[in-house]
Amino acid sequence: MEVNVEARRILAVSISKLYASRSQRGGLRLHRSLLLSMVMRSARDIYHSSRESEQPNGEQPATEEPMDTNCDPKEKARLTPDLADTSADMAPGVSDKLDESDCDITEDKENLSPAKQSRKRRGKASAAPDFLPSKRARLEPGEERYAAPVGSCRLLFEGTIFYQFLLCGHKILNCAPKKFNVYIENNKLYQKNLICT
Amino acid sequence: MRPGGGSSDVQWCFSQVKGAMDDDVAEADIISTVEFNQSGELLATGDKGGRVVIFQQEPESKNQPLRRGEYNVYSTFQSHEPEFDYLKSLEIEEKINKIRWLPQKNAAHFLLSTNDKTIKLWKISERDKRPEGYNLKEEDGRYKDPNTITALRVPVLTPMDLMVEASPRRVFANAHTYHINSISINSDCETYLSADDLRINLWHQEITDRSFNIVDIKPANMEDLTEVITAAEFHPNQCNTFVYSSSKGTIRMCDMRASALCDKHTKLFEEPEDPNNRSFFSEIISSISDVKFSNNGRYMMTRDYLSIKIWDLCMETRPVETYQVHEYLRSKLCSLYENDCIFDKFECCWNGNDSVVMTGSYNNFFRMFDRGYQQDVTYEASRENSRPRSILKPRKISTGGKRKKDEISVDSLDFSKKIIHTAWHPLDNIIAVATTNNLYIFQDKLN
Repeated sequence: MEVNVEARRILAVSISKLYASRSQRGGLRLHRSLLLSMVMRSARDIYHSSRESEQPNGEQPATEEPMDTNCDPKEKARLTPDLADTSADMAPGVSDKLDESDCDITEDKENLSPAKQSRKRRGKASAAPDFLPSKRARLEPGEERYAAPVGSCRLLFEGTIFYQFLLCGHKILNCAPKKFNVYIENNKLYQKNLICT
Repeated sequence: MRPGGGSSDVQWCFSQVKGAMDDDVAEADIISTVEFNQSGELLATGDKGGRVVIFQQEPESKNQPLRRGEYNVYSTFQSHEPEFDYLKSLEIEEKINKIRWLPQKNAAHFLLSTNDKTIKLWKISERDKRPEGYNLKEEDGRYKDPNTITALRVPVLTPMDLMVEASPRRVFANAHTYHINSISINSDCETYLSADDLRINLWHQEITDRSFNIVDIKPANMEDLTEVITAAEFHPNQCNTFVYSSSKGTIRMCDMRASALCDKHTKLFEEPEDPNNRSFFSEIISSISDVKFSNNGRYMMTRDYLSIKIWDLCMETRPVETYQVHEYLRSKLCSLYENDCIFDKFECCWNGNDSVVMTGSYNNFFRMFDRGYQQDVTYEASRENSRPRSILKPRKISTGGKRKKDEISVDSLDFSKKIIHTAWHPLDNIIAVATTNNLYIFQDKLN
């Protein structure tokens, strides 16, 4: 249990470091980001293995359930079983590394994996991500829509460390990362108040 | 016996301290690199503000034959300015990451200085004469009316106050996508290398519009990236050989004669990890922050977060010597991760005859390891020890429960005071140690 708590704490610290490094002078440092990602992967692995050892019958849902943006107490119980799935999902993804470009806005044309390159319309069952959200983002009560200039899509690119770890942090820490002004919909990470028209 | 320049009992004394002694440190004044030239006469520092300050050692005076000359400011210039990459919307810091002196060929001195993206070749030259008695110009430089000129004379060179000029002779730009961490001059006196996180480029000192990529570890898919280049250096006398270290704690030696692209190493130096020391932070602390060949070219030294390792170039399986710099920090890695200290990139250096190595630590401590006598010592660079020619007292850190007198407990170490950059005079027992914004010069006591 202590290891669990420690892993969560290290993960939270790591996420805030990763976020803070985006605004530092000189841009993101690849070496530092890589080291942060390694710590976060260790913390995540230890967290998962300690959770598995806490569940002797090893219950793990077979299919991935869609994430809900509302983090009310009823939903929290549903969030937790997703961890086992998303960790399997994220295992290749967690080694994603930042490209030199500003990865939360621009699409990295250089390093698109084959699955992501196709723009063909796909069925709902497909796992290939869209770069633009197909629906308007859901707003929280009291928020307003702001028109966004063309090109300011705020779907945080899935291939980035930042994306993966906010997602990971959201699930492990059981809290909406309000600090980063993001929310999760359809297993994609969006930043609030900016929409694509 | 204390570690020093060899077998004699060396006592280190304070010599000078450079920089403001305020408690309030301006960020631009933070020293980011320190380097002696090949003769040791010149000492260059670079700072976060993009400036280079060169100190020159005064010749030994006849009145005081047993005292070495002091280092005084010789030249100061702005090497790099902050820039903006409009394509990526990123600021490029002006901080000087590295300075390397070129071997001296004539009266002028040349050095390479680099920030994250651009390397510049600077010429530092002296002017102590100026021409006087022009035919066509007045003394103040205005041109004379040609009708008034009736005679012809040859201008003569007359002495003037010494002026030291620094001028940029070459700018090597636009060759690095990632942040440059190293530059190293080849013993062929013609080429040099520059290394960033994923690539190493080979340049000719005269040619600025192209460079050759000799190492490229960027994977086809960035998702597969597992390590980056942290430092690179040419062999001191084999012009075909260089090494580069990685964030995984490995060092690769490459031979440029083997192929144009040195992606395949000729030697891989790696020590297996001790499984007992595994933790969340194992990868971070095994990342190599500096690599330096010995002066004789037979060994190389690597610095990771907690230790210094000396490698025999003929043996790849493990280092021949390992020195613990501050092992008492191993139990504090979590706190050091939270306060970012675990990411500090300490440098290391050899003395002139490769018998002693030196590196920095926290609380403004620096450590020396005598390879011959297998002894180590810790000193502190502080204002309290800054009286002229005061002898440095070795410091001890108390790791156990009971703290002896004059020992410092680990918990009272100041982690904001760190010595990252150190340099050793190539021929003499003079060292330059950089605290945050001060440069301390120590030398051994001459009897």
